[in-house]
Amino acid sequence: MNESSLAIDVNFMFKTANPEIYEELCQKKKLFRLEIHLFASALAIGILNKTCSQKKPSHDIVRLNQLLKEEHQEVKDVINILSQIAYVGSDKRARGDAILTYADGGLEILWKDYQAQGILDLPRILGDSKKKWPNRIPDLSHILEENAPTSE
Amino acid sequence: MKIRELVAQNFRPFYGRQTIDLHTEEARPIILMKALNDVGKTSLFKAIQFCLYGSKATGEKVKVFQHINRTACSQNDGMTFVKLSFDHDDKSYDIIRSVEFKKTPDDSFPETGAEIVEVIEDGKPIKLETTREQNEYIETILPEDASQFFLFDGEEIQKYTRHPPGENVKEAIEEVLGIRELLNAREDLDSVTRDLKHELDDLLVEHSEHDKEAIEVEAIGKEVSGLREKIKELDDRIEQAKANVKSCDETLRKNTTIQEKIEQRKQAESDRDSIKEQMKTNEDKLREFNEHLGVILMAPLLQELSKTGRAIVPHWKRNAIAVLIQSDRCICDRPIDDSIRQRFERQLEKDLGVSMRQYLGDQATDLLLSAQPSALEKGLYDILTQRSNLVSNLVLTEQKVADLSKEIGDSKDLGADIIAAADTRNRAAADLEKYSDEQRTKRAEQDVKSAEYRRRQQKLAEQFTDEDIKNKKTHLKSSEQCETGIKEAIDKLVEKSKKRVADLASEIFLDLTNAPKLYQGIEITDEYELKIKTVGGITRPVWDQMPSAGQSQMIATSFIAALNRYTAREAPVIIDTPIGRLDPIHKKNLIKFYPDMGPQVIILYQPNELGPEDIAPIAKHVSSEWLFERDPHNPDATLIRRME
Repeated sequence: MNESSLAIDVNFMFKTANPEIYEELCQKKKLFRLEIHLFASALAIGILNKTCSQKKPSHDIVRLNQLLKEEHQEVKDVINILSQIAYVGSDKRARGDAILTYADGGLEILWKDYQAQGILDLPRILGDSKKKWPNRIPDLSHILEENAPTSE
Repeated sequence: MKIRELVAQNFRPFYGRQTIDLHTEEARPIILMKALNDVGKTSLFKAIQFCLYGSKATGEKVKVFQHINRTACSQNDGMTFVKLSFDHDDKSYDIIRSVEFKKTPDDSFPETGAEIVEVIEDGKPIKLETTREQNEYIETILPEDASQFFLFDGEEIQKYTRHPPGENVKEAIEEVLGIRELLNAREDLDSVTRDLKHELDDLLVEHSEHDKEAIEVEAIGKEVSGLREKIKELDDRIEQAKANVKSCDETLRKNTTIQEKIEQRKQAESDRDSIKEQMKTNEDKLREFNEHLGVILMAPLLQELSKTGRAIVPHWKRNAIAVLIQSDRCICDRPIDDSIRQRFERQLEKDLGVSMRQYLGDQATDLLLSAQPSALEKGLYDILTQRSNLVSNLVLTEQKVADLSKEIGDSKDLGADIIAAADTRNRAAADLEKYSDEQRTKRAEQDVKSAEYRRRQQKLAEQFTDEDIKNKKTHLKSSEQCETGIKEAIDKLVEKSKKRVADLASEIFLDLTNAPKLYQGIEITDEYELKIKTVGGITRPVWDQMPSAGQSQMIATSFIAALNRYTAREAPVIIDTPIGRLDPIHKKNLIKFYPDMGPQVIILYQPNELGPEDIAPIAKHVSSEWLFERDPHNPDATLIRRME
C-alpha cells in the first residue's frame, strides 16, 4: 500500500490510554514483539465489539511513518482497512482519533479476559471473534454500501 | 513357652500396676492389642524384653531409668517391675525383674538401683545369685539371640532380606536350629583333645627323662600346636578380609546406587534445560504468530469484503498509477509525457463511483492473499499443543530432579569414592586369597606333622605300661572319636535343617506373596543368606533383587515362620506393627496366616493397620482383645482394658 492511498495521515502517531497494559503484555510477558502488533489486534477486537474506550489516549506508541520496513506492511494494511471501517468520512484526523479509542476499547476487553484467565487465551479469543463477526458484518455493510472510498 | 499373664508396674506409660491376662486356647492362639501410636504398644513389647533379658535388650542406647514412669517418679520413691508368668516344658514359671527408683524433684530422670531378677519355678523360688546365673537360666528357656524370631517389629524384619545376614543373625539362626549347641560342644571337645595331647606329652617326657625320641615327639607336638595357632590366626585374618570385602561390596553397592541416581539427575537436569530451550523457541513462535493476530482476528470480515469482487481498476494498479502520475519517468525510465499522464487519469476515473465496500474488498482480497490467515491460524494450534506438552514434560522432569535430589541427599559426585572403594576391595580380595593360600599350605603341613606326631606318640606310648599313660591314651582316643562324630552330626544337621527350613519358608511365602506365579520359593545358603528362586529358574540373593518393602516383609515373615515351625522350641510370637504399609493382597494373606504362625500369637497394632473387616476372617481364632488408651487425667499414663 502506497502512503498516498492510506486512510490516515502518514505522520499519524499511534497512542494509547493504557500504557501499563502494553508494558505487561509486550515488555514483561513478551507476548508481542512490537506494540503496534498488539495495537492492530486490539483495534480489530474494538471494532468487532463496537467498543470505544472512555479514556483519553496520551501515551505514544509509534508514528505511522516509522513503520517503513516491508515486514510492517501487513499490520499497516490491517490498520488501514479497519480505520476506514472505524470512521466514515474524509477527515483523516477524526479517523485517527476513532481508531485510537476503538483500539483502547478492544485492549480493555482483551485485558479483562487476560486477567480473568491468567493467560492470553488465543483459541478462545479467536473462537469468540468468529462467532461475533456474522452479527457485526451486517452493521458494517450498511455503512460500507453508502459511502464512497475515502483514501484519496 | 506360653505366656499366661503380664504385670507391669510403673514401667514406661504403665503408671501403677497394669495386669494383662494372656491365656490362649489351642484353637484360639491369637491375642489382639490395639493402640494409637505413642500410647504403649511398643512399651508392652519392651516390657517383655526387659523382663527376660534386662534393659540392655530394649535398645542399644536405652538406660534403665528411661523405663521408669514419669508420674510415678515425680511423686515418690518407688519400684518399677515387670512380671511374666508362663508355662514351659510342663512347668510353670514367674520371672520378675524390678528396679527401685528415687523421687525426682524436677523433670529429670530418676536415680535407680540395680536390676533385680527373681525366678519362681513351679511355685518355688530358684536361687540365682549372679547375673550370669540368671542369664544362663533364662537362656535355657528362650535364648536372647533367638528371641528376635519370636518378638519382632513387622516392619523391621526386612533386615533379614536387605543385606547378607550379619554374624549375630547367623548365630541366632544356628541357635534356633539347635546347631549352636553342637558347635559349642565341638569347640569344647577340641579344647579337651588338645589338653589331653599335651598332658600325654608331659607324661611321656616325665617317664623317659632323657629319652631323645620323647623329646622329639614333644617338639613335634609343640610344632603342631604352633601350626594350629597360626591357622587360627589366619582364620581371623581371613574373616577380617572377608568382612572388608563385604563392607566394600556394600559401600560399592550403596555408592553405585547413589552414583546412578546422580547420573540420572544430571540427565534429568539436561532434559529440563533442553525443555526450557524448546519453551523459549515456542514462545518465539507464539510471538511471531501474534504479529499476525490482527489479520487473523479480522479474517471473517476480510472474507466477507472480498466476496464483492475486485474494483474495476485493481488496487495495486491504482497505487502504481497514483505514484507514476506525479513522476516524470516510469520505472522503466521512459519519460511520462502529458499524453501518458492523461491516459493514467482516465484509468483512475474509471474507478470513481465504485462503492466503499467494493474498494475495501479489493484491499481485503490482497491482504487475504498475502497474509493467508487460515493457514496462520492452523499453526497456532501446533504451537499451543507443543507448549502444553512442554509444560507437562517440564513439570515431570522437575519432579524427577526433585525426587532424585531427595534420594541423593547431600551426596556429591561419588565417582572418586567408588574408585577408592573398588581399590580397597581389590586389596582386601588379594589379602583374602593370600591368607587362604597360606592357610591351605599350613593345613597341609599340619596334617603331615599331626600324622607324624600321632604315629610317633602312639609308638612311644606303647613302650610304656604305666596306667596313667594308658588311661590318657584311651581318653584321647575317645575324645578324638567324639569330635569326629560331632562334626559329622553337625554337617548332617545343617544340611537337613537348612533344606527343611527352606522348604517350609517357600511353602509359606507362596501363600503370602501377592505374585505367587512369579516365584518358585526360597533357598538358604551356607552363610544363611536368603535367596529367591523365580519361575524362570534364576536364583539370586533377596537383597540383590531389590524387592519392594512389602515383598521383603513377606519373605522375612516366611523365613521366621519356617524357623519357628521347624524348631521344637515353643515360644509365643509377639509382633509389633504387623501390617505397616502392606498392600491389600499381602495384608489379607498375612492376616489369614497368623493363626498358623505359632501356638500363641500376640499382635500389637494401631487402628489404621487392622479394621473390623480385616479381623473378621480370623475372629474365631482370637482369645482376647485389648485396648490401650491414654489416661484422660494423666498424659504420662496408659490404661489397658479388655474389649468385649
